[in-house]
Amino acid sequence: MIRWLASPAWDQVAHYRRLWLYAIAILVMIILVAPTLIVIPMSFSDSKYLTFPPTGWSLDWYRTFFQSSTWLMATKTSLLVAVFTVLVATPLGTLAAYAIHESRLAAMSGVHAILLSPMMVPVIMVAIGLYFIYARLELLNTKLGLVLAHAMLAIPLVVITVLAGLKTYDMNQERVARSLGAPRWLAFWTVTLPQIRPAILNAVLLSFLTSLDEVNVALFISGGDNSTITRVMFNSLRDEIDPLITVVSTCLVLVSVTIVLVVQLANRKSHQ
Amino acid sequence: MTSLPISIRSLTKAHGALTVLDGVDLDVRSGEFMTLLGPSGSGKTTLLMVIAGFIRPSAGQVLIGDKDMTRVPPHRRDLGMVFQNYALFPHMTVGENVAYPLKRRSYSKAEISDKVKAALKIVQLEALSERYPSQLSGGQKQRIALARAVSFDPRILLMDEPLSALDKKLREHMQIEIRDLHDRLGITTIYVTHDQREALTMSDRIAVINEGRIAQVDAPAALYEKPKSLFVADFIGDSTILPLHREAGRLMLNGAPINPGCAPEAIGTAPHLVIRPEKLELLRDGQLPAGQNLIEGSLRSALFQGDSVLVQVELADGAVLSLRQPGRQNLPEPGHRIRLGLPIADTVVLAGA
Ligand SMILES: Nc1ncnc2c1ncn2[C@@H]1O[C@H](COP(=O)(O)OP(=O)(O)OP(=O)(O)O)[C@@H](O)[C@H]1O
Ligand SMILES: [Mg+2]
Repeated sequence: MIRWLASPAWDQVAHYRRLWLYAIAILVMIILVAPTLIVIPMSFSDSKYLTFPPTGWSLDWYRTFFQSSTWLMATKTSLLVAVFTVLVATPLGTLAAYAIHESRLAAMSGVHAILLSPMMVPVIMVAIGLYFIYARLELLNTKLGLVLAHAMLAIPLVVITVLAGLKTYDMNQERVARSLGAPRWLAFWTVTLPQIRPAILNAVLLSFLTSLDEVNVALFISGGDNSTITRVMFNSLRDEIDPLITVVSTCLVLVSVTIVLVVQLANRKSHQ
Repeated sequence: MTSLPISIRSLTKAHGALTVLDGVDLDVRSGEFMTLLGPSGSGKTTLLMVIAGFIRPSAGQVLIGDKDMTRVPPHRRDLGMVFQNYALFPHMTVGENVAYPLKRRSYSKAEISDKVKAALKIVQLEALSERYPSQLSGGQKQRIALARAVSFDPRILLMDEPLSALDKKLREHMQIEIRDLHDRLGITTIYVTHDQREALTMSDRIAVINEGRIAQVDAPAALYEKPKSLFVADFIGDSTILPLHREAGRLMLNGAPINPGCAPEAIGTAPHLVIRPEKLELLRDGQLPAGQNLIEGSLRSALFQGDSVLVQVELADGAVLSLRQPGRQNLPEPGHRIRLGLPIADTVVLAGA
């Protein structure tokens, strides 16, 4: 340890001279993951109440979760809505980003601003507005309503991500493809798309997580059989606090981490 | 394969208030190597993009063969394109890159593989077909881009500054190679560059473009020897341009008459004398051969440049002329009087702006 401290880091500064940097880095990482790391052990508790650290271990709460039709239905709703949000938001957002990137119309900067606007307005306002519109359209408490609302929240993220991807792409490649005999859509599909794939995969990731984690809008417009898991979590927190909530959280973390890993793997593949 | 002529008729392109192309007329003959040459921002790329179909002109027509192509989308124009940065598809191998245009056409697998091989053979890179573009050198990338552009036997080849990313030596080598490829395929070629040397080396004819207008279209030698405007005279080659005065119907340079080789009245307002350094001849005292214009000044400097000596001569009004001499012999001392002869046949006088 002492030897390591005195040895030079890659740029000749000894490790001990930059200990404070290492400390800050570790602190930041702890702050980022600590809440998650605390929740996971709590979910294996045998107690009736939320305690940390747990007094004893059991899988009781997992059993309760997987036997509750309310929770299972909500999980299904959330996953289904997240998948369809991805299916709606990613293609639409990608096409919008392409248009913003390529069009020379003066009106395009206005379109750009409108597409990003759901991100600039407080979500609670979006939720209230949606509630009244959905009441008229009879979309309240429907999966379709949820998908549309979540897609609206996800599209700005898709647009930003894909636009960043297009900025580093040489559009001359698509032009060459077109001059070589490919109609525009085919040139996009065979030349442009494979190269902005990392950006699109990130967009998929962001849309999925946006939908899965979303609670504000779901509180207003989802309910009954089509409640999302976040909404059921909120309700159960109001009534009683038991370790079941940490089981749900752990499952959500698991899903999210899986998705992130899958996307990163796919990205690494496309880099080769 | 038959190549086709291209005819561009009063083509205009405006971006808002900015007119990028202003009534361009240009005829490229079948099988010709035509270069678009002009300063940066003169509209060369825009003209090429209009021909390729990526930019829709505000007015005018593009004819390929005898067909009006002005509104035909790029993928149905049947032309090969090469860009400055190669624009190879990085996610495909060299072979897949070259096969891309063939797959868009109704060729069988066997035909595609044959044609890919043939195209790679043309650029002498058959061995590289399994590599990815990131594993190629700049010159190899350029050659693959060329192979891809000609693999499907297009009628026309368009190139936008294809060599500007290469170093000088490779560039000169590739100039010869591209010209050679053109000659073997006999394909009508439009080549964009802002390098006048490259244009003079490679082209059958050169169209000089300035501010969205064609200033002159001519063979390289004619463009160099007989520029039709001061812009072309100044843009092509090294030249000294000196203002002339009119006195009693004659053209005068610092009080000495200049015979322009034509009627002085035929030249427009503000006449200027265009002098190429290699046309000037050193004269001995008292000597004036027939058929030459005499220019007098004082020697300013004589710079040794290896194969020649660059001589600078200061005229009475302070203007400086350059000429090349094989050696220092016959040169007076700096500051002394020097007499130069300019053959009337090589005397170019043009109206100023
Ligand atoms: N989309 C556009 N909107 C407005 N102006 C444009 C646009 N595209 C090009 N221009 C202008 O048109 C003019 C000609 O551009 P072009 O690219 O054809 O020049 P160029 O001759 O190819 O120059 P270079 O040698 O630098 O490549 C330039 O002044 C440029 O600023
Ligand atoms: Mg250009």
